[in-house]
Amino acid sequence: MRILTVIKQVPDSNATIKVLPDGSGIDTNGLKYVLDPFDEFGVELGVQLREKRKDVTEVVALILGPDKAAEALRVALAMGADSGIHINDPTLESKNELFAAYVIAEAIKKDEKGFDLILCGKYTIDLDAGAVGPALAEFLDLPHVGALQDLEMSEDGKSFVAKRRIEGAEEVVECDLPALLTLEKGYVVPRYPSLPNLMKAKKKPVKLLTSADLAGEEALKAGTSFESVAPPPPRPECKLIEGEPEEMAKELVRVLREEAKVV
Amino acid sequence: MNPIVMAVLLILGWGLFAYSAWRRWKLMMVGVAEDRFDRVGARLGAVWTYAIKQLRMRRYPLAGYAHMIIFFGFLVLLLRSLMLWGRGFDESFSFWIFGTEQILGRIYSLLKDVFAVLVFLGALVFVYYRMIARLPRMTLSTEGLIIIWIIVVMMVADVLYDGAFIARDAHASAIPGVALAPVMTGPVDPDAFDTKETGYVVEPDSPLKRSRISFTWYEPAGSVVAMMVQGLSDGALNCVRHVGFWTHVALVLIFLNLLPYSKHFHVITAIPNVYTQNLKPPGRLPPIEDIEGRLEREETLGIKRIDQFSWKSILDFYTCTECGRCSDHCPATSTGKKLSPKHFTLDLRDFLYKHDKALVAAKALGGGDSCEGDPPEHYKDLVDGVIDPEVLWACTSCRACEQECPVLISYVDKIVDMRRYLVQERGEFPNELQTAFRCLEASFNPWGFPAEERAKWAEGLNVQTLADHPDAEVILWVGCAPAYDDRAKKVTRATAQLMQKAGVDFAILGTEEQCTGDVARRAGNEYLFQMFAQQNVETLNRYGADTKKIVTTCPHCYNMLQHEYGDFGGHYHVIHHTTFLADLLAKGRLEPTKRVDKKVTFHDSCYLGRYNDIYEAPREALESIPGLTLVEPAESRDRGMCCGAGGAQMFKEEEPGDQRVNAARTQQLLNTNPDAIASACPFCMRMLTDGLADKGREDLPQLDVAEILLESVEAGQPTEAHT
Repeated sequence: MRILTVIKQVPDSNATIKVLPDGSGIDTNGLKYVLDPFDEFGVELGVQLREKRKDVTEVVALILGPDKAAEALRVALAMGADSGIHINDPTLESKNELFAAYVIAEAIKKDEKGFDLILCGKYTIDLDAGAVGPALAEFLDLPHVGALQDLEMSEDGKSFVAKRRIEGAEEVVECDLPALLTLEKGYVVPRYPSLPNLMKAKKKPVKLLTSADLAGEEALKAGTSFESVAPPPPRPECKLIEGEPEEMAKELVRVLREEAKVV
Repeated sequence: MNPIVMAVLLILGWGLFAYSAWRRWKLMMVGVAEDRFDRVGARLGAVWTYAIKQLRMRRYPLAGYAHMIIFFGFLVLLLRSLMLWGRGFDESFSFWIFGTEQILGRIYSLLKDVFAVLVFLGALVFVYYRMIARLPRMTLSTEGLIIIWIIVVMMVADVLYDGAFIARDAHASAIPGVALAPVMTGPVDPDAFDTKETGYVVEPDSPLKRSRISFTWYEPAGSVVAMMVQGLSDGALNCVRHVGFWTHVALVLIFLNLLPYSKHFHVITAIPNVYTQNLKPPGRLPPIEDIEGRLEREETLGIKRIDQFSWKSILDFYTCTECGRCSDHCPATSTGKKLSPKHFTLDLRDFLYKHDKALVAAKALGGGDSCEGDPPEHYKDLVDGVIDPEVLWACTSCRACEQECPVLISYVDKIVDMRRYLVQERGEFPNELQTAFRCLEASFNPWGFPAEERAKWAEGLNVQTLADHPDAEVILWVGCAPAYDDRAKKVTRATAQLMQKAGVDFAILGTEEQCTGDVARRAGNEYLFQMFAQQNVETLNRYGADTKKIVTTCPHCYNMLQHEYGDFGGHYHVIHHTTFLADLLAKGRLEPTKRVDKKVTFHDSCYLGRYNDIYEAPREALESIPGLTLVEPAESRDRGMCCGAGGAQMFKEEEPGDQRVNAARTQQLLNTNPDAIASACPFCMRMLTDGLADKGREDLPQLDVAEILLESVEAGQPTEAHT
């Protein structure tokens, strides 16, 4: 069984995002980038499956992004992926999810051995679109189970039972491989790559591709197009009402009536 | 006595001992090389303080003084033992100058008798501890008890031998024509046997022809025993004399041979262990040199195998006396965690002893893992194999154990070294620490607050950055908690305001400052720590910090900047804010005028106190405030209990136990019935505030020294440097 984990490099969740004044994008100056935390779940699950099962022969991590995306790929390799595929695209920022899925699908189709299981995060934390996983499944004509929280592989490795939480219930899905899964938070805890593994990651094979080689102009026509980006409106300031309970209550009613106009 | 028996005993006893000592020596040499022979003067000074004066032993007064008596008694009786070995060949042997007819001999004889009695009593103290009180801190082993009884019996035997000797001599002298006992050497001088001199009152008219024995000043114990046994027949006396003699001689040799296999090995190793103690600042962690190179050469980071400890660590293991004072004061042990510093040391020692032959043999072959797959038993992974990871993760690095240990065994560096292996090689550690590591990597603080908001605490205070004011005399090193934590920010602001009031010319690094890396380092992530150390040293040196003063409110930052950045090229004069404020108060640059009528108790931070010996400054600052009364908890200063946050505990869940460390410490402070609890560390503050909340005592103010001081210092003019 070969497993592919599709990953992306995204700005760190703790970083403060500043929008460029002309709205053409975000200020990437000094911005710290990390391997997307949801994609890490995919890498972790893939590595865990290889550690647990004898029939898993290889875990491959695939990343689409500019040169520096190689850093995130190295983290995935340090976590335990056996080899990598880096589809270089210096202008990924301005392209949409359908394009990304299309390019990745093309790269997967070119892989000679093929993959039995493709793992993605539920979404990436930068754009929260959650489109690449399902779109990739469509392009590859694979069944897709989204946002799973539990996975039980059959003993023969030909099918699995996945659980996913839906509003007020848990859905249990049975499916044959090959398939594409996206992961919800909370099922696996990604490991912290050890230093020797980070060193070893440098020596693991990485296949280099470019999105230009994989997709023609037609790939860009589908889906949404990027217009502009703007910061969210600032949150209105809090108002603290102080004083005796009676006064506070009166003031609260007045504020709700006259200023907020909700009662 | 019998020269052949004595010769056989001596050869057997010393031969066996030499074999044991050689084995222990070879085993110690299995450890990694480490230089502990520099600064001879300081080392000899330490031997004087800790081995001779036994400063640490006396922290438990009764045991301490009893032990000192036994120690000095041993020194005195060493000569006696040598003498008795000599008497096996020549019964009059007294090293030529120590015969009881000579003045030196009489002084020695007096000293010996006094100490024989004192050592007897001292040993009884330990018999009491082990058999009656059965102190829980002690390992109540049979071996420990055997040794104590050997000492007791040895003293009794010695005095019996003397007593019987004296009594027999008196008999002999009372019978005309019988030569005097051969204890006297040299030609017999009749005057020397004057009754005044010998104390043997000869009564020639006695029908029994026996002398009456009286008390002799230079043989106080011997003569008293002689008086008690004088009624015995010559044969019986001879028997007592022989039994006493051979018991003493045999027990000394048995004792000697038990040493290398028992906790009493410290009799031999304690002085060398004190001599080779760490002379660097206490608690300073040695860096792992050339991490990248080690990784390429596939060398272990941290300690995985027993032979990766240094020879000095092995000497530490040898020297542990199992007294349990470390665990007696360990905040983890006392709150029911799996960690007991004593058992940590003993588990490693026992493992070492168990595999001594294999380890020595493997070392001779080069010391590598010869086979693929599972390593041989003696090279097995210590973590899980010998030490439970929970033990390692329960340590708060508070150094209470190291403060107590009478023979200066270190614990925290060993625990961190094993964490280094766990974190860096196995990638295994409490999951919450992963969040801290990732936040450190991304935002340069362990909480993940935005790096660009590091100076936000100073809003409205008109505090300059070094970039704007590079000539500032003082750098206020803020630290992560004081920069981001809402509660600690108030302390930072109070400190900055006080400095402004005193007209101190200071500036901050602002967003150029990063975590010192203390959390990462204590958690075992040395690689991550070194990145911070290099970056911060680069920044500080760029501003010429080595020629300025650095003030910080965080004892962890203080310790790091002062003692641990030197290895990375950062040599600074760092001052904790309590010391700095105490100094401003002493110079009259701050005048606390407003009365603060409160009974305040002060909580000592480990990294301020035990790590840096700063106990007085915060107290001086507090006591300068009119109206304020300082009350000390029973556990204070170097016996102050940890708040529970150190050693990266702040960023992980506490290990399972029966109580939280901060709850235990808060209770100790509450026992003083204070109006407020003062502290001088942002981590302590958080832990104590939580502790108070758990006890439903949110009403009790928990304040930093700077905050109380600011309350008392009347509003003055802001300093010119900051207007």
